[in-house]
Amino acid sequence: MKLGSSQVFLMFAFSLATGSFAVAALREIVVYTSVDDVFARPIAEQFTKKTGIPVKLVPDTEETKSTGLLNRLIAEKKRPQADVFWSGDPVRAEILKSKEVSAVYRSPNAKGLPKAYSDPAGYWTGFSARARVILYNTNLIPKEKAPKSILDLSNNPEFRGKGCIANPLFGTTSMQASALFVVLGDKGGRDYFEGLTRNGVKMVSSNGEVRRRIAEGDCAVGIADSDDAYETMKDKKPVAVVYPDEKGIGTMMIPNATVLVAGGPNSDGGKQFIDYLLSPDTERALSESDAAQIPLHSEVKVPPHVRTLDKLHPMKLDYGKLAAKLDELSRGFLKDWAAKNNR
Amino acid sequence: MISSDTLEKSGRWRSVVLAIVFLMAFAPAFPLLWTTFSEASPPAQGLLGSGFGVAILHSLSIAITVAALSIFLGVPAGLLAALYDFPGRRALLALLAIPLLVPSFLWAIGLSQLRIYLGLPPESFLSGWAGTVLAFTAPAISLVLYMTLLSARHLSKNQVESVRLVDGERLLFRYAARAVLPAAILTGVLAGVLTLSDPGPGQILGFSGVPYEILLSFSALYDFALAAKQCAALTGAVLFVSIPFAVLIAPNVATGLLGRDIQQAPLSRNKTASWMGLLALGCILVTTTVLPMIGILRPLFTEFPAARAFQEVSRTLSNTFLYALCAGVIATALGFFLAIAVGRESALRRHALIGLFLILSLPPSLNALGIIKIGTMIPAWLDPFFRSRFTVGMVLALRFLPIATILAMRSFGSTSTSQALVAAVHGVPLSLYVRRVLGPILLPSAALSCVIVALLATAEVGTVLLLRPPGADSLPVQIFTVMANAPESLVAALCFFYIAGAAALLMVGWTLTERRRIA
Repeated sequence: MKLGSSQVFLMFAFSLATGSFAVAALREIVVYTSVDDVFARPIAEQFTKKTGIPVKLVPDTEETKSTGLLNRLIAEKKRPQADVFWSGDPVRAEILKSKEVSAVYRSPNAKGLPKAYSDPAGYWTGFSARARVILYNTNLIPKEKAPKSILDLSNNPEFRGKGCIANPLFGTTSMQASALFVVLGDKGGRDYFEGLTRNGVKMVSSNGEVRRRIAEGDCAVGIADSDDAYETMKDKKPVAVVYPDEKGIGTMMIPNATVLVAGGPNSDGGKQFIDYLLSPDTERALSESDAAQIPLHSEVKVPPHVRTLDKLHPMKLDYGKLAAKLDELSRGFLKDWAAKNNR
Repeated sequence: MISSDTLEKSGRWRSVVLAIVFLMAFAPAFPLLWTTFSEASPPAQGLLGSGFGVAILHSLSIAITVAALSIFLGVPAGLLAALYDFPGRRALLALLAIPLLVPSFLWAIGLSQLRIYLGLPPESFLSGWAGTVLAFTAPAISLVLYMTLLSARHLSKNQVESVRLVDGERLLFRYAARAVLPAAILTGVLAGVLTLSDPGPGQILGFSGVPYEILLSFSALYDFALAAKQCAALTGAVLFVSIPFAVLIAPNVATGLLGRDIQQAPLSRNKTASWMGLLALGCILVTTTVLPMIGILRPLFTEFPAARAFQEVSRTLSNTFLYALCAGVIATALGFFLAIAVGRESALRRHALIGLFLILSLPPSLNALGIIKIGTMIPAWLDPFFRSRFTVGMVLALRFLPIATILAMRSFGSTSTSQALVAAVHGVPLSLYVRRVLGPILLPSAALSCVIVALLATAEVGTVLLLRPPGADSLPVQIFTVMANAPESLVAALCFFYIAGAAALLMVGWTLTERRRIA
C-alpha cells in the first residue's frame, strides 16, 4: 500500500504529538519523585549540567494526597517507566520494597551516611532529612509559653482548642503517627491521639493547610515539617519553630530516600543519579535551598538557619518497621480517629 | 451508496455503535475491576461495617444539592442570557467559564483562605458541607448555564417572536424554560454525579464522603482491590439514583423540528429583563468565581513573582494545550457518534443516559491506573497509544464524554427529520448530506462541546498526574505539585497566569465567533 503525503504527515504529527520518538529516550533518566518540584528540579538540572545526561522528572507530592506516584510505580511494576524513585520519606520507600518494586543498590556515596537512616538490605538509602517540628503563631503564643513537646498538644490545657494537625492517614503526619505508636507503644499512641481530640486539636487536610492556618492565626500552634515551617517564616509570617522533645522521645527525622526501580529502562543511569543524590554536594544544595534540609553527611556545612544533626536529639526509630505499623493503623485506629475528627 | 435517511431509520448499527463507544469508555476500568472480582475474597468484604454506607449518603447529599442548585440558578440565568441583551453580557458569559477550568481543589483552597481572611469560624458556611457544596456548585452552575444558553439559542426566530407577540415576555420565558429544561436537568444531574468521584474539596473543607474513602484506599492503604470494590458500590448507587432520571428525561432531551428555521432569535432589549440578566449573571459570578479567586490570588497583593511563574507557564503550556485539544476533539467526535447512533429512539436514549451517568461516577484514578496496567501488558511499539500524551488526552476525553454527548444529543435531536428524508428521496448520499446539511448545522454545538470538554479536561488533575509521560507536565499539575511548599505568591502567580490566559482566550474566541455570526 502506498502512503500519500498527507498520511505520512499525519503519522509524523502523531509521533511528534505523542512524544513517542524512541531516539530521545536513549540515555535519559526518568526520576519519579514525591519531593516538592521546587526543590527536586534544581537538583536534577544540576545533575544534567554536570553529566550531560538529561533527567525527566515526574514530580508529585504526598502532601497533596493525590492517588499519586506510588500507585503509578506499583501499577507499572511489570514494565516500569521510571529508573529511580526519589522519595520524600522512607515509609513510601519501604512500601515499594514490600511490593517488590525496588531493587537493591548500595551506592559508594552512601559511605559516611548514618546507617540508622537507610535500609539494611539496601533497597533504599536515606539522605538529607527534614524534621517534624512545632510551628506556632508568635502573635498568639509568646516564645516563653511555646510548647516544648508534641505531647503538649495532647495533654496541656494551655493549648486547648488552639492546635491543629494534618490528617494522620496521609504524608509525613501518617509517618509520625506510626512512629509514636512504635515509640510510645500502642496504648501510649492511642492515649496521645485521644488526648488530641479532648484538647480540641483540629484535624485539617494537609501540612500545607496547617502552616497556612497558623500563619493566618486561625490556629495558634500545630505540627508541620521543617521545610513547611521555613517557607512560612520566609514569607515573613508571624511564626516560630520549636524542635520538639529534645529532652524526651526526641524529634522525628524524615530522611529522603533513594530507590532504584527494579527493571527500569536505564538502570545504570539510575544508579548514577542515586550516587549524585547521596553526595555531600546534593546535601549542601538541599540545605541551602528553601527546603532547608538537614544533611546527614557530618562534613557538610550548612547555612545558619539550618540545624545540624549533632545539635538535635533525633527520635530513635527503626524506619523499616513504620510501614507495616502504618498499614495496621490506617485500617483501624487512625481511620476511625480521622473519621471522628474530620469536621 | 448509503442513503441519507439511514440516520432516521432504526437499525442494528445503532446498538453496535453504542456498544463500541461504551466499551471504549469503560475499558480503562476493566483491569482493576477484573483483578478485584476474580479474587477469592467475597465482593462485599471490606465494605460492610466500615462506614462506607454513611459515606455514600454523605456524597449523595452533596451531589443532589449541587445538581438542584445548579439547575435552580443556572436555568434562569442561562435563559436571560439567551433571550436578552444587556451591557457586559458577553464578558460575563466568558468569565463564567472560569470555574470550569479551575481544578476543584484550587477553588476549595480559595474558599478556605477566604474564610480565614474574613475571620469566620471553621463551622461557617465556607467550610464543611456548605463549603464543599459551594466549591462544587461553581462549575456546575456554569455547565447548566451554558447548556441552557445553547438550547435556548436553538429556538428559532419565528418561535420566539410569535410567543413574544401573543403572550409577552413572561410566557416566552416560561415556554423557553420548558424547552430547555430536560437538557439542563440532565446537565445538572451529570454535574452532581461528577462530585461523587472528586475528593479534593471535601478533603480541604472538612467533609468526608465516598471520594475520601476511595482516596484512602488508594493513597493510604495502597489497596487497589478495596478501592475497586468501593468504586463498584458507588457505581451501583449511581445506577439506582440515575435510572428514574434517565427514564423520565430521555424522551424529552431534545425536540425534533419539522422544518428548520436557520435564523436565530435576536436578543431583545427589554429593560426589566436586561437588568435582571445583568444582576443574575453578576451575582453568580461574584459568588462562585470572584470570592474564591480573592482567596487564591490575595498573596499577589504583597508580591508578584512574575518571571518565575512565567518560566513555569512556558514550560508547561504546550502540554496543557495538547491535552485539552485532544480531549475536546476526541470527546466531541465520540459524543456526536453516540448521539447520532442514539438518534430519536427513547429506549436507546435511556440506555445511553444511564451509561453516561456511570462513566462520570467512576473516579479518574480507577481509569488511569487501569490504563497504566494495560500499558505494562502491551508491547513497546504500542506505547504511543497507551503511554503518551495522546493517551492522556484520550482518557480525559472518555472521562468527559457524557458532557459532549448531552450537548450532541440536544443538538442532533433538534435537527429536522424531514431534511434527511427529502435528501434520501432525491438520492443524496449520506456523506454528501452530512457534509452539506447536517455538518454545518451541528458545527456550532460541536465547537462549544470541544471548548467545554477542553476546559473541564484542563482542570482534571488526577488523570494527568498519573498518566503524563515523563517530562510532560500540564500547568494545573504543575500548580498541584508546587502548591504544598512553594511560596504562596508563586502559587498565586501561577493561578493568575492560568486563569487570566484561559479567560483571555475565551474572550477572544467569543468575540471572533460573534463577529463572524454578525457578518
